[in-house]
Amino acid sequence: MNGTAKNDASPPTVYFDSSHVVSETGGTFSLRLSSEALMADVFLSLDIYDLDNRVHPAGHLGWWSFRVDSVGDPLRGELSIEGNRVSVGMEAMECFNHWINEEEVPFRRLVAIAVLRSNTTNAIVHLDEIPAFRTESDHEVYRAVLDRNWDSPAFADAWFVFPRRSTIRIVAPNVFPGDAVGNFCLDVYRLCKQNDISVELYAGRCHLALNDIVRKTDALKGESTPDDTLLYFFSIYDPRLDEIVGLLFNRKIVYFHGVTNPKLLQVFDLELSKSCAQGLRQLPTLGEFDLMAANSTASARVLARETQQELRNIKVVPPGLIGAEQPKGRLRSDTSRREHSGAHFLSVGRMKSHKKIEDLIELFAAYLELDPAAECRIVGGQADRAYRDYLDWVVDHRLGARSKKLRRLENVTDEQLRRIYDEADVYLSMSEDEGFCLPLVEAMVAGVPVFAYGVEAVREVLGKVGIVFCEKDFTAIAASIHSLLTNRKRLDRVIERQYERGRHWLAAMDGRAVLSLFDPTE
Amino acid sequence: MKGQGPALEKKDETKGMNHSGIPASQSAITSQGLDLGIVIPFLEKYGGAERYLIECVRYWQGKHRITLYASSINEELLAEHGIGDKVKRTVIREYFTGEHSILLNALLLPKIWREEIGRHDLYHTHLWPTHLIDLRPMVWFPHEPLRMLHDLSYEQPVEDVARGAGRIIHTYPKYRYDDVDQHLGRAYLAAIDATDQASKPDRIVANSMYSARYLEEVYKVPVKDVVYPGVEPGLFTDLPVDPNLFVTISQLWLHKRIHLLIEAIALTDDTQLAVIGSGPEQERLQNLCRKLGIEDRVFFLSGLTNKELSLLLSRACAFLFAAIREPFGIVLLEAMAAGKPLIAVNEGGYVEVCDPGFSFLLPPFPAEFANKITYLQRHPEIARKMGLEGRNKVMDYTWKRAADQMEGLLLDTWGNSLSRRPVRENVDRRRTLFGIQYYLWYGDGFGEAHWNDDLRTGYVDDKPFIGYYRSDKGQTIEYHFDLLSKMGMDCAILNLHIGEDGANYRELKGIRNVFDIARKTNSPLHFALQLVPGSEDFSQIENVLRMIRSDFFGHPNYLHMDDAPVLFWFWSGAYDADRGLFSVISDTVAPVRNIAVSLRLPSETDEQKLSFRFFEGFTLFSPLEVTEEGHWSRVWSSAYKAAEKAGMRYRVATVSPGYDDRNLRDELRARNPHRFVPRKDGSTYRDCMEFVENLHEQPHLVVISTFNEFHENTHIEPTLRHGELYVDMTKEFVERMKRKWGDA
Repeated sequence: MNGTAKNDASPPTVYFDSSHVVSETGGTFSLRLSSEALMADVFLSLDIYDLDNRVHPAGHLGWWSFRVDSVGDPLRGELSIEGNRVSVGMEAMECFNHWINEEEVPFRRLVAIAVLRSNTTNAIVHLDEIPAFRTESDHEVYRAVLDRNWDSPAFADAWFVFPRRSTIRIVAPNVFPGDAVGNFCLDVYRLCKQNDISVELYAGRCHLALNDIVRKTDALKGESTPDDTLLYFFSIYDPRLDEIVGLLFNRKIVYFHGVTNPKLLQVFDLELSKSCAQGLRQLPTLGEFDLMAANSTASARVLARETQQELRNIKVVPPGLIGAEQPKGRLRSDTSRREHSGAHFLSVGRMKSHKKIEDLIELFAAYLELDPAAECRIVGGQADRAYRDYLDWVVDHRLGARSKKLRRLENVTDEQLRRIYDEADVYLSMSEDEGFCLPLVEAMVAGVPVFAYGVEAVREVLGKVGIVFCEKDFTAIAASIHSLLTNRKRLDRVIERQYERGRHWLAAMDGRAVLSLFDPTE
Repeated sequence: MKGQGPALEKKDETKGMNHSGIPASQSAITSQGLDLGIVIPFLEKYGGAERYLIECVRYWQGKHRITLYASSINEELLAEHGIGDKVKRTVIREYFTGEHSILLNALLLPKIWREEIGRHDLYHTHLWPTHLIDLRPMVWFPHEPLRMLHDLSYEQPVEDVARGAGRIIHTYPKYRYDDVDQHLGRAYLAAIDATDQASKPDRIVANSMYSARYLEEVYKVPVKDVVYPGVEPGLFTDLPVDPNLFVTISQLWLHKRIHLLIEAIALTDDTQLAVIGSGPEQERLQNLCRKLGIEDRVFFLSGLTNKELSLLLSRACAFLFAAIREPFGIVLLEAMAAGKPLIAVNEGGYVEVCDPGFSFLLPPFPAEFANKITYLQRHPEIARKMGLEGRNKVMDYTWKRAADQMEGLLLDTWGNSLSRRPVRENVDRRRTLFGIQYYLWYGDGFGEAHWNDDLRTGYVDDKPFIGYYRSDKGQTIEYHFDLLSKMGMDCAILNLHIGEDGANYRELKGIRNVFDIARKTNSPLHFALQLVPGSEDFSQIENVLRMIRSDFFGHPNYLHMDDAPVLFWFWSGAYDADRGLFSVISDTVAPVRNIAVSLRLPSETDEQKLSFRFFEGFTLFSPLEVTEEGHWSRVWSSAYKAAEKAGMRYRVATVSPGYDDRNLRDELRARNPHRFVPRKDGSTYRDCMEFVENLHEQPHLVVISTFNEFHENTHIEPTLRHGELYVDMTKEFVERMKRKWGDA
């Protein structure tokens, strides 16, 4: 029983030709099926979801299935939107089955997913997806997630001429703005552009607003040459790793972000947890790269152990780039307001379960016993619905009527974030897994005293400034925070030392460390 | 599908079980709790059996003295579930591996465990083959019989698991399969089957009516007692449900039929299955997911904490379960407590607690499961209502109820066992016991241990009738038993020296043989140990005390007074006022009747300072040595009264036939002005006896010093020099006193 392609043949593939669909301009799109699709026992399905709620059935508008009798050149289709209803058709293809959600699904924009499925098992064999909009202006709004002016912010200047025949091909399993790995990929892309270094960006999956600049990793093999340099970002399982390692490049560089402990994710994000577990098993393969780099010594230590390399052979490059004109923060000299009650807690980062936001809520509840006027802000996106629901439950149970003292903010602008740092009295990190933890640097340069659970990377970033703890004794930590905030002299000393540490990291993130990875003279 | 009616009817049956009350005769000991030995092959994972045991122990730990025995113990697991230090842990021999290990593990290993397990009031054993340990009284909670011999005998895995011409055998609770040759496999199972029923525990308890019938079928004995497992309903969190998420919890064995659930998931759209558990089938199941193209929808998780498990269950739409004839299925109760509807096969113990309000009980067909999965996925509100109904139902099934019911059965079994035990001698005001000092230190023949092996301490110039005997020999012991019985002795006091290396191994071996032979021969004699501390390392003494408690105090021939074991202490006075020692022995041995057999006189006024009221009785070890012959009566009388005035509970008197250690070259002995007290053909012995006869208050215990201490010539054992004179004198003395005191 096997409905998919045989093992010795390439699996069938399906790709959209265009980057998006706009209904008001006809809603047309085209698909390219590989020739293997004809031989394989598969059918084509077009699945339409609310782009902002890709959940079945709440955000699922419907699916249409078509027999694959020809692969066309390409296959043409049409997506029409009327109110909150959609319909899909393919030229010269028989729709043999479909499902349309009986419930109305309100949406701002859609995602169209072309899926090749096994006729026998219904299993997904291959898929591609593009966003779909009612109007072109909706599309423009969506694209604004990334500033495409590559000259800003300005990073370090290269001290070498990069060979003209060579292209740096940045590859990552996923590229999503707002995510540490995605941000760093895009910044390195920007850094290369600013220094006239030929660069291309590839990903297995990306934010659909970026699909005009981020290419499919499947295309890497056909587009790369042996003169090129590969910069490969690894933070999670990549099904293409073996293939990528096998490609010919002038130089293959792997940049290791660390892999989150899958056990910390397994309750609220089963897929991510599984990908992390599989990613950990891939680490020995990274030893086949010519050069290894990592975001911290802590991550480098893991990489060295798994690849059986010397730690000193792994370059440590902080995982962020700070432009020359970007604010560097300021050392706040006026701490008088902290002598009053009503401390402002702050935590920034992805809303993932390894960050242990629930512990922050517990800590905040304990602190309210000492300072009933205190408030807490938690800034970050990408929360899984399940984790968000759980945090709601924890807030209800631990804070009850005081729930309004805690605010969770998603999608804040850089300017808003700066203001939030300005208003914060203490920065908290309860995370139990970090590769680096950039918000600690932000807090230090913003003059916000840091209290952090002392995982290895956090201790490395703080470098014996701020305050770390190794036991989550919420009452004791709350008392420690209160003690610091009510002791002005000690508080000033802590902030001053943190600021120096923060400046050290800003200097290290101007782009030179990344450029050194490409230096042809080394 | 089972309806509400039959389930309730069956449950009512369990309410009539014999665990309602504790007999009054047990109340004294149960107030201190049972000394309970609990045995389980492994205590590593949080499987059904382990969960049952841990939850019960959690409730019992403050009430009983519990020792847990397992071949591996996961301390983190115990700590996570609040099992404290009061519960002792002992690791017993691990499973055999290699050739024929299946047979060794089934037949030999329980017998080895039997030797390693201490003596307890009651043995509560979990899982197969702990019934073959054969310690009594025993309450066996098998959870299930060895199913490989019965309903699973034709459910063995196919070739991709067996990997070759052989077959695999799963002797639950082992975590791994045994892969064996086909013919050998049959031979192994035949041998195991023949032995399986050889041992009949005092009571077999089942976890469901369904299991009870199954166990009756296998063991051909009635299984009347059913204790359903429990759950802690308050542990679960109410989170919004993910209608696409389905959960199962199970160890990954073939008979758990996870493959059925995976096939069902493959027949549905957009669903995810979280499989919580581990086991040897995982790789095969992952391959199945890959072949079905749903590896991105099936997740294998293990090592979750209780909190993580609770959160994951809370998120799920429904709980799936497809195991073949599950004996009970605690996880289904947990799913109910988490407010999850059940989609499960219509067979197994849990069916007794299910009803259609919250469960779909189905034939084991993937399409049937897929149908209900899709139904609940599309109707989350119905799933929610079903879950609430299940949660209400599960309120009847708590771990406290399970622990209480099981405890009732343990106490009942223990109470019943008392009536079958030999009656222990309990001294009271109307009864005087006669005991004798007995030494088990003699080696195998002249020149060996204590037979003139050391002129300083081991000189012997008399010769026992039976020659230079070895103390631990069966013939020696049985001959001595006859003499002790002939003299009318109630008990013998077995000396055990404790040195820097712990208990004297020779004496200990002899002592074990004494108790074993007493049991085998149904001897009416009782025995108590007399510790002779000679170590500054008090941990050695502490260890010996632990060993005595576990190995001897529960023996039917161990001497008890007022319902507590008696422990004699050879007291030279060297440890007087030593708080270090007393803090160790006081903590370790309570409740025990401690009696000093001393070289010094008891103090009327200072015994509190000297021995911290540790001793409840006090007598002289060698009364002839304490003073000149002319003062014997006065000094002995004074000592006897002093013990009473010091507030001690028991009066103890010692008689001795004479004393002569002049042949021992130990310099310390030369300082003793009374090292030679002649026997005068029995006259000295008679003087001692007359003193006892004339005591103003009847003693609780009279001790003869000694039966066989040849170095100091205090022995009364028949010898070439004295013949049977002293045995006969003793016999007459005991008869006379029993007549006088009305005990004959």
